[in-house]
Amino acid sequence: MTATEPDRTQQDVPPSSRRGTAAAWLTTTDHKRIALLTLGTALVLFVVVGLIALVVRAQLTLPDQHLVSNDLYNGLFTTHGSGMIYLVVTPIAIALGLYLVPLQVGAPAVAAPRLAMAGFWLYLAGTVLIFAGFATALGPAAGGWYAYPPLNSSRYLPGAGQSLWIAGVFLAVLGMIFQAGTVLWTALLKRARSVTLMRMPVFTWSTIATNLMVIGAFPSLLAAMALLGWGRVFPDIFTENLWNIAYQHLFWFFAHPVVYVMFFPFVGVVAEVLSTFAGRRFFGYRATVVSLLVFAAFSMSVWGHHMFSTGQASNDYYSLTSILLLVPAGVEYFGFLATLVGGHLRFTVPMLFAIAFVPQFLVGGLTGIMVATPVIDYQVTDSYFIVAHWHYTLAAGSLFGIFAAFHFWFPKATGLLLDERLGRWQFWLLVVGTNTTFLPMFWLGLAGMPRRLATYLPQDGFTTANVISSAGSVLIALSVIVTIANVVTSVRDRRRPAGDDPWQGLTLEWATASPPAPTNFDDQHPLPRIRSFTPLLDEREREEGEERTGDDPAAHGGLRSGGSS
Amino acid sequence: MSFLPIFRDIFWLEVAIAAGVFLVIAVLLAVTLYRRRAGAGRPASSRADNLPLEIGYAVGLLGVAIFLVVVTANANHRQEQVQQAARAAPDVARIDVTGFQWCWEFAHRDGPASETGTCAEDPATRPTLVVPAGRPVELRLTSRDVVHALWIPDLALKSDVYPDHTNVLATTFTEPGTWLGRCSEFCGTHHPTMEFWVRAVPEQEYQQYLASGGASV
Amino acid sequence: MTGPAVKADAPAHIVGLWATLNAALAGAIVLYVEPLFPLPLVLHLVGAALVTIFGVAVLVAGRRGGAGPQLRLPYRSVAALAGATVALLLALTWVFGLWVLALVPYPLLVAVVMVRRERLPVDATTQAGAPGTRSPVPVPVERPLTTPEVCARALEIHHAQQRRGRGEAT
Repeated sequence: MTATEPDRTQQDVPPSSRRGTAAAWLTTTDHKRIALLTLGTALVLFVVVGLIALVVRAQLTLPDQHLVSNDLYNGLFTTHGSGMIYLVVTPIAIALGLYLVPLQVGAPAVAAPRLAMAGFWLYLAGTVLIFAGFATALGPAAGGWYAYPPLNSSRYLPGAGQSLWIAGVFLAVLGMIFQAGTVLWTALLKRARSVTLMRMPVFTWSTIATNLMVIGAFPSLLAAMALLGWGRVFPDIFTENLWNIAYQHLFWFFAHPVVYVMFFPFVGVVAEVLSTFAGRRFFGYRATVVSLLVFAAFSMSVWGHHMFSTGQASNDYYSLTSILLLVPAGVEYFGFLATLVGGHLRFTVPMLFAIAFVPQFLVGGLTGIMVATPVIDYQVTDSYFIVAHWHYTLAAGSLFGIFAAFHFWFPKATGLLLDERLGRWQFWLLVVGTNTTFLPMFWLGLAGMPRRLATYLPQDGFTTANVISSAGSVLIALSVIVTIANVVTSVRDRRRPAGDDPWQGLTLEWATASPPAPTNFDDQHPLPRIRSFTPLLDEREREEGEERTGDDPAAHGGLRSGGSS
Repeated sequence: MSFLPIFRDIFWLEVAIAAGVFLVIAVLLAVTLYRRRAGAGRPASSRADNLPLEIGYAVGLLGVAIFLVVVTANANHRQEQVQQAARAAPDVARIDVTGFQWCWEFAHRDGPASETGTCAEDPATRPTLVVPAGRPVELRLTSRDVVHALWIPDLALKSDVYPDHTNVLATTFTEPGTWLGRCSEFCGTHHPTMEFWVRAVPEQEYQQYLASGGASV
Repeated sequence: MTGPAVKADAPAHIVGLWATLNAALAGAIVLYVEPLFPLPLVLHLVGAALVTIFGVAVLVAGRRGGAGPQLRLPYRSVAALAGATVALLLALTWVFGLWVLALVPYPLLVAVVMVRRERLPVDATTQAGAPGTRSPVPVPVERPLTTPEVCARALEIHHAQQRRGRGEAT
């Protein structure tokens, strides 16, 4: 190497100068980049699909409004619902694991990165197909996110948008199966030697439970979409009850586990954030791991509770399995609260989101027990009560988990801190907005408002609650604007470098650089000693112990490690 | 009227339990957040586990779950039995309810009466389901095209309506009155206006209605 | 810690337990009145079977020493993009009909256009500064230059190895 020509020296392969090009990003095999592509796409779609929700709310604010036609309204709520589920929350739930799991288990790469990248492209292709429906003559798909036949056969919804939607959902979900498989394989088999199973962080365990559900349940949706696709070509099969009900079974066998796919990773996120900012190990780690796995296993048996009102499913079986889920869910909540009870709490922005997740998701969970009770479900299903219920799980729950994760790991992924003040604005706007939007919907449902109603009449008595709800949605929109401003100013100004470990993290991703090197850990950032699921906390305690007594507490059992070391 | 009382009992029972649980957790959370804030100066605990407590707690939860399962299954069976009894009653009035895009048709088996409508924007175009008050009524629900659902919110009556399949709702309208019925399963463009009226009338009036072949009473 | 073999199997045990619990839950459907009886049971068992297959794959990989950090990392993933593009085309074909397949030659057309652009004009010279060309710049490296002597020596070693491989005397 000559000092006179520093820019022409021999470089690593791939040369770091070329790592920033578009071609490098689009053909990358780095799990962090694949995950960032997926997460970035999903966040953009979150904004787009959220804007659609605002149109829906605008239409419903006052009775007898016709801002959009019935058909366009149906297309908008279909795009909102299926977009949020298939294209936003599920991809975020899975891609978050793709980013973090290799880091948390000390692996240099994800297993089968090209498969993970194919997953991203399929997801993008599916997204393009679904939104392409807006450019067709009869508009986008308008059959609801669960697309029941016979309505969704070519006889009743003949538009090409409907077929595009079916193909798009198929591709996007196939892509998610690919990504989930690679993450699961990495967590189970590609860990660093010293990371035993019981030394994996709670988040990694939550992705294992999640991705097992993906493997077991998502192929069922592929079958359902294939059946629906068959019905687009030969609509006559859906004149038979058997195929209509078979579709519902296939669909819900996927669609109940997907609810937990959109929930579990955020249980993991909240557990990580709570224990980090409580400055201690997650309380009840073993019980939480077991409860996550049991929860996931049971979640495969509850799908029929979506079919109570069909009169063609076994009420007793599905309500039994559904209600039993409160046991593992309760154990997870125990862990959340017990971690806080013995903590030294720092109220950072990610911590605020994680704390708000706890009571808000609880509302969704408790009303979930109600709708798992057939005699209650008969009355509230297909009403706004259900809409309120799952928006409490998805918007007030998972979305808060997403933002907790976003604020927590944004410094790791970009090397930049977000603004705390704007973060707090975002948080409080979102808390007030979410509850104002979705709490009145419980009342609307009990008052008799069916879901998917393009408009209603003044004498229905739904006006007040709808006005309140729409006002809340404006606050949510403001909160999202604040978030975007926060990200844009942080990235543009680059004033707040994050450092490797801005939060005093507990898990391995905080031991490497921000953003991490292409193979995660290198000579400057070697893997630390790993003796439990919180290796960095162990290190800190050891250093403190050495300072105090010149002694290593880990050496004589002063630390309780979850592993069998 | 078997549906509404059972719904109310179980719903308010579960609301009470849910409210209790929510309150306990919310208070615990609030107190913890205040007591354990960094400014309070309490160091973080290094305890990572308390297995006996966790197992005991899980067993307690299992007890709650079993209680809820039993209550739920009981209520469900009670409702089924009431429906069975209503269907088996000798004086049951049978009505064929057909949903289609986008309205309803009601055909009475005890007489030549049949009624349908167009369910347009004007509420006057909605059909009326006339039922006798005070004796069991069996609604036999089927669809001509896509999946619909018959819902009478004020009476907590709901069932999906399928093509190529007949679902049955059996109940007794104890008092005369008029209620609004809706389609609650999304069924396409005019789903929002797919509504009907339910009128429970005294026996004599019902017989007149049947005899007149569905002329309004 | 009872030995490396058991540890490598442990992940498969998780998947196995999970699949077993699922199969048991599926079996419980038999005890209930289920109007579409065999369908939910079959569905549930298929789901459990998929997970079981995954578990067996984990077990086999673990036994074969597949556990441990990923060491090989592909450099690029162009096939992933190509694969998804094909999937997208097939989906469009299904929706809009076979004529969409007419799009398939499109990448070829792009390639032809690009190759034509790469051609140098007839009057292009090979001198520095001529349109479309650049004079080569030597790249300094840390190792010694590869002289003809070094090449000859390397060739000699290579031939010696080949002879040894054939069992000839060296």
